[in-house]
Amino acid sequence: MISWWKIVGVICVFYALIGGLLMPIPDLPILEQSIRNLFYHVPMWFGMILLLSASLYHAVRYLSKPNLNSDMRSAQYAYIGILYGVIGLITGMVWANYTWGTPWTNDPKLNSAAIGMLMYLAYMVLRGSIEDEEKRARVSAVYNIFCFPVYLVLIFILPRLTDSLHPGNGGNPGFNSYDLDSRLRMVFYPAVLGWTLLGFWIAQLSIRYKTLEQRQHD
Amino acid sequence: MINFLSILLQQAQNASELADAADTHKFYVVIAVIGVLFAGIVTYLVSLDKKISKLEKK
Repeated sequence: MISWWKIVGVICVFYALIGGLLMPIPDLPILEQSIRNLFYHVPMWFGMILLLSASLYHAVRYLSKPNLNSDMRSAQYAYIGILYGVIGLITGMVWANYTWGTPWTNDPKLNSAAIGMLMYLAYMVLRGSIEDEEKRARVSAVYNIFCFPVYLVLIFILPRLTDSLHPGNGGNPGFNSYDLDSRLRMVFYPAVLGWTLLGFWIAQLSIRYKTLEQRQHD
Repeated sequence: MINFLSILLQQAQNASELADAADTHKFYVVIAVIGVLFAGIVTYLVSLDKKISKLEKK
């Protein structure tokens, strides 16, 4: 049977997809109707951070107790996290094109996110370039543990120290500009929960597939 | 792609000025389509999940 958390995830995403289009929105300058992207673009980044945390967790587990299964889990979570990050970047570019007038500005938040994604793409290259399984697992676990805190600093701390176009930066904590409207949260939080659970479901499917593949190989 | 989207949006804006509020109920058609689309993706994920479960039991 399908686990309860997968069903919760699907219901939340379904609610967020439709509720995000139908619900009344506050009257915001420049953003106008595009504020609805809050329900689609932002959950990608939340989901990405949680998937990458799961990847970090398994990387630490691998180093404390070397087991190739933890390494495989770590990699699969990272891949789905990267997928979410890439989708987050592209959706952000589409949104920026209509609110900031250009798909890419050299804004600290955007550049940091791009550097962070490149760091994780390097993780994929690193894994692809080492033949020996044990060595690949060890090196990529160490790199993962190095990557994650740097990424957090890049996207959450550095942009807050300077001025940024992106909301939640330039000294502002969180979603200050939207916080006035609790109606947005009614769809936003389920959207974050739903997309995160959906990401974990997809990651779990690929982990199970890899496990089967390994079993067949042995 | 972004340019293409901006042209699309411009056309949509022109069209919406012509169409006015009388046609807004057709907006629900789009929502129905998104619902069907997502339902399709979920059905695929569920069937994949079940196939993998079956293999795991072997």
